[in-house]
Amino acid sequence: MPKYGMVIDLQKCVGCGACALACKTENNTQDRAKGQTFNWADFIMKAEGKFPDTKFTVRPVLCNHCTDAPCVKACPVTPKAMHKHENGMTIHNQERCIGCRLCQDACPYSTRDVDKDKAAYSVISFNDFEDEVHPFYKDKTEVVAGCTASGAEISQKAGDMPPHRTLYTHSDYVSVREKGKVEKCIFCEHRVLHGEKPNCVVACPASARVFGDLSDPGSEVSQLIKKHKAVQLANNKGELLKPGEKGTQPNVYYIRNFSVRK
Amino acid sequence: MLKDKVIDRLSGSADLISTDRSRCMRMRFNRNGCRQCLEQCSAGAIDIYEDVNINADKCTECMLCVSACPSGCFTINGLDFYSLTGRLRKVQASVQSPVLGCLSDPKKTAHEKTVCLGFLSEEHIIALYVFLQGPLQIDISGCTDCRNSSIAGILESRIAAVGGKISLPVSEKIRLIRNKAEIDFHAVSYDRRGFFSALKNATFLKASLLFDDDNEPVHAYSAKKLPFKRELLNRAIKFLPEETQVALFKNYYYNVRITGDCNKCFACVGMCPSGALKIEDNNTGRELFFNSSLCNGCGLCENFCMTGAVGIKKGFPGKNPFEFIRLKEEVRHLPTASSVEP
Repeated sequence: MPKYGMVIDLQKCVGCGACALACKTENNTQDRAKGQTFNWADFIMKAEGKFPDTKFTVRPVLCNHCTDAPCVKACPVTPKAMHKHENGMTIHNQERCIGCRLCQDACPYSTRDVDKDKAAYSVISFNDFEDEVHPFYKDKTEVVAGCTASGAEISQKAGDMPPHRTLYTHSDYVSVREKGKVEKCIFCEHRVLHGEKPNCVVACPASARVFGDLSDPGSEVSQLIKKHKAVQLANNKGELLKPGEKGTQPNVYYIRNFSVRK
Repeated sequence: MLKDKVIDRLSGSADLISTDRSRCMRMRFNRNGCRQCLEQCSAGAIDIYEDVNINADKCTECMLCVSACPSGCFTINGLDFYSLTGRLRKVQASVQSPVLGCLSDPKKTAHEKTVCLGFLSEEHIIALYVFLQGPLQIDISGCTDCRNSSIAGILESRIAAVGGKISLPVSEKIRLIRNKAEIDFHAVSYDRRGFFSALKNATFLKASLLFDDDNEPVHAYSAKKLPFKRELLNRAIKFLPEETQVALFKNYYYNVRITGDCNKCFACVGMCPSGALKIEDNNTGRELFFNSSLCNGCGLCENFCMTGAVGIKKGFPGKNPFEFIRLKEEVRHLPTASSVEP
């Protein structure tokens, strides 16, 4: 059984955002609102220093599919809604989720409210108990009054919600989430099971994202980790795990970090 | 799907009790310690470690788990309690006091027979008291020779408990018959017309049980479903006089309160299996609302609350448990320095 992971080459990444867009279209995630990002693929953008000694870094982030996943430990239902698959992926089962958000609390890369906590991102997002999912496509007010269609009209004409919905099926999760449940990156398991790569990997124009089997020493991901000094994220503030530090044993690695100015 | 189900039910291979783990408090919250079904099951047939399972080889079919579970995890297949009471009412039109017996008793002196009567919870007894016009005889004379002999005593204490709580002559109307000789059975005599309509009704009943989808056994954990016991009580209570209603509010309904420690995470809304808690937006922001008639008193909200702000207590002090009321944050009465003994 493979153990999937990802390596992101920061010297190839230009921060174009294709991965984030590809993820949003593939997984039909809704717009950021009320402290929930719904961005399963996101970025930490950092501008530091004072002109002219400034530094700007972009680090693409996603669920780390940790080997020692605290979100799984925290999930209170039986069988766990947040659970590990044998292939190393941390998968969320929609049917069993009751929306208690203990996973959001437990995950070092997540927060209940990114705005309030001034966090760069949150791996796990929560669909509110009351608010509509994809409110834009249920809103009947015209985007430009007297001129354009409303979100509701677009989705009605397209015959789906959201209109661009990618229809996929999976035994654990659904293509559009329901109210009162959390959601997160599922490493596009519905694609991987069919021999495809996650959509963010496919979309990256620079091939900065490499997806593969970490348990196979000959795989590209294993080779890259061996060749370069790979680092892992420690939290959602952009701090890295120090050498020797295990953290939650994240399976997303970053290689070849660089900086224009020292 | 439907075909399989119908065949299952026709051939009788479907389990007698279906379980829905999404209702089980322990499955919903791993730190919950509910043991109600385990404690009732003297055969040790129930396993609630990783899933809710009934070991059919060990199960004596006493149905005590069904009546004990506070959140409605167990359902008896093929038993529609509403149509059972409906048929008993019909019998009452020609016979003064119908007899309810159990299927394992070979005697023919019963108008209706069901699986073991251990499924009759206090709520069921109240419903029988309310929905039947005249007295009902429950034949427990066969219990002594049955492997589930404890049911006779349990039913007796349940009926006594109901009578005590609502101070109505329940035990006079729902009579337990321990001695075979005391059964007052009169067969319903059918004329030609009555015979055929009885035949028709029986056929429709069987057909409705075959295609019955109401008791779809498995739900998503997020689905809200009121346990049958509570639904029954909510229906029955409306036919009772006001002072009895107040006694029922006190003994069978629950009240939830929150303190100022509530951080409005609303996880309790998701935890609640029956939808008694909900969020409503009003001008001061989001508030928690509670509906006592939808609360089965399982206490998962209190059990789960991370700030210890939610408290649940038996007894509904208000007048109308059927409406959602806003939960006001109450000041927790911490012991003051003077009240604490040194």
